[in-house]
Amino acid sequence: MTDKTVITMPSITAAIKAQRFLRARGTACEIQRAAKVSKAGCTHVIIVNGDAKSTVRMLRENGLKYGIVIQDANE
Amino acid sequence: MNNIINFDNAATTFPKPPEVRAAMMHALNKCGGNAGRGGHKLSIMTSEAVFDSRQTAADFFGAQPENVIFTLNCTHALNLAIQGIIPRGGHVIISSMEHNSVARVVYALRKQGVSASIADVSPDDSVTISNFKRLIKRNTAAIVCTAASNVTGQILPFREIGRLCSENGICFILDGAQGCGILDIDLERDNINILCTAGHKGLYGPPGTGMLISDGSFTLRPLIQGGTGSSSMDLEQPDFLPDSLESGTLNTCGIIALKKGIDFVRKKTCREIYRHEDELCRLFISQLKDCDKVKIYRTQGVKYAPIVSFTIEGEAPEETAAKLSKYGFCLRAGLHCAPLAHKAMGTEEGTVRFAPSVFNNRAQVIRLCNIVKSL
Repeated sequence: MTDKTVITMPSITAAIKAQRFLRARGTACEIQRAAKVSKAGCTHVIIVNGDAKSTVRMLRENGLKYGIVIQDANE
Repeated sequence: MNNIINFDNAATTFPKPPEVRAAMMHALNKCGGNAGRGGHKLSIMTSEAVFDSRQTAADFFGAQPENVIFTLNCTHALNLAIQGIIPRGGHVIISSMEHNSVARVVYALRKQGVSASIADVSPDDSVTISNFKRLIKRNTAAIVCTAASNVTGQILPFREIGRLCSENGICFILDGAQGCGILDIDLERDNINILCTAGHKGLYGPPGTGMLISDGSFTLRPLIQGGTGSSSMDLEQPDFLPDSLESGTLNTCGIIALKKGIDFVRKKTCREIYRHEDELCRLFISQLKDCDKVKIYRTQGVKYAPIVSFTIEGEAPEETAAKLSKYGFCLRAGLHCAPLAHKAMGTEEGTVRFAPSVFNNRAQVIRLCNIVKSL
C-alpha cells in the first residue's frame, strides 16, 4: 500500500508551475487528469507520494494556487 | 528570395533566427497535443512546452507565468486590455502617436459611453508627461501609450508615465510592439500594469503570436468565452489567469517557437540589438543628409527606436517604396496604421519607413541609400 495525495489544480498552468516548484525543492510529483470529473468539471491534479501536509504548506506559503487536497490510498 | 532585403522589420521581422524556425518545425512534428485539454502524454508534453514559453516571457518582462496571456498579435492583446479594463462611463487617455490598434478601440468605446483624451507627444519628455498629467480626471481608468512610435520611432517617456499612473491608481497599458526586444522593459520596475506586445516583431517569433502580460493588479473582463480545459462544468468563464483570457486552442507551434525568439533576444541582449540597429539608422541618415530631395523626420535631442521615416520631394511615399521594391528593398510606405501620428507630424500623405533588424548590415544600408539618391 502506498499513500498518495492528490491535489486538484485550477488550471494546467497552475499545475505545471506547482510541479516545477515542488520538484525544484526535492518533492517528486506527477501531473495527471483527475480520475473523476469533479463538481467543477474536468481538471488536472498533481499527485504526491505520501502525506503531503508539508507539500501543501509549501504551496500555500509561496502563494501557489491549488484546489482540493485528497488523501488517497492506492496499491 | 536571395535578392530580397527586408527593411520593414517594424511590421514583422524577417528573416527569423534559425532556432525559431527549427522550434516551429519541432513543434509541428512533436508537440501535437492540445495544451491543457487532456491527461495523455502528448497533451501534457505540449502543455509543458507552452508553459516553458510562458515562463521565458515572464522572466524576460518581470512577471509571473500565469499572467502571460498568449494572443494572436499585439492588436489582439490591446483589445483585450483596453476593452477589458475601461468601464462604461470611464475615461481613458492615449497619446497622439498611437497606432489604430489603440485609437480604433478607444474610438469604438466612445460610442459605448467611454470618454477619451489625447495627450500630445512633444520632443521634450517633460512636456509630454505634463500633457498626460493635466488630462487625468477622477474617472480616468487607464492610460494607454506606445513605448515607441511605429512611424517616427520616438521613444515615449513610458517609465515616467507608468509612475504617474501608479501615483494616481490608474491602470497603465503599454503598447510594446516597437519597444520589446529593443528596450529593457520590466513590468514591476517600470510600473506597467499591462504590457501588450507582438511576438513576431522585435522578439523574433513567428507571425500569429502576441502577448498580454499583466502584473495581476487589475482584473480584465474577457472578450471571448469558451473552452479552457478547466472548470468545464461551470458555465461562467474562469476568473483566473491565463484561462480567463485564453479560450480556445492555442497557437502552440507559434508559442513554442516564440520562446526561442525571446531566448535569441536575451542572449544577444536588447542593448546590443538596439546598438546595432541604431547604428544602421544613423548610417542611413548620414548617407542621405546631403541629399536635398530627401526629408527625414527626426528631431535633434529626441531618443528614437530604430525606425526612420522619410519622404522624397515631389514623390508619393508609395511610389518611392514601389521603386525600391524593384531593387529588392522592402520598405513600408503610407500611414502605417497610425493616422494620429501622421496628423501630428503633418504627413497626412504618409512616409516611407526604414526599419532594420539584427540581420541587416551596413553594406545593405549603403546600397539602399545609393538607390534612394539615384531615384
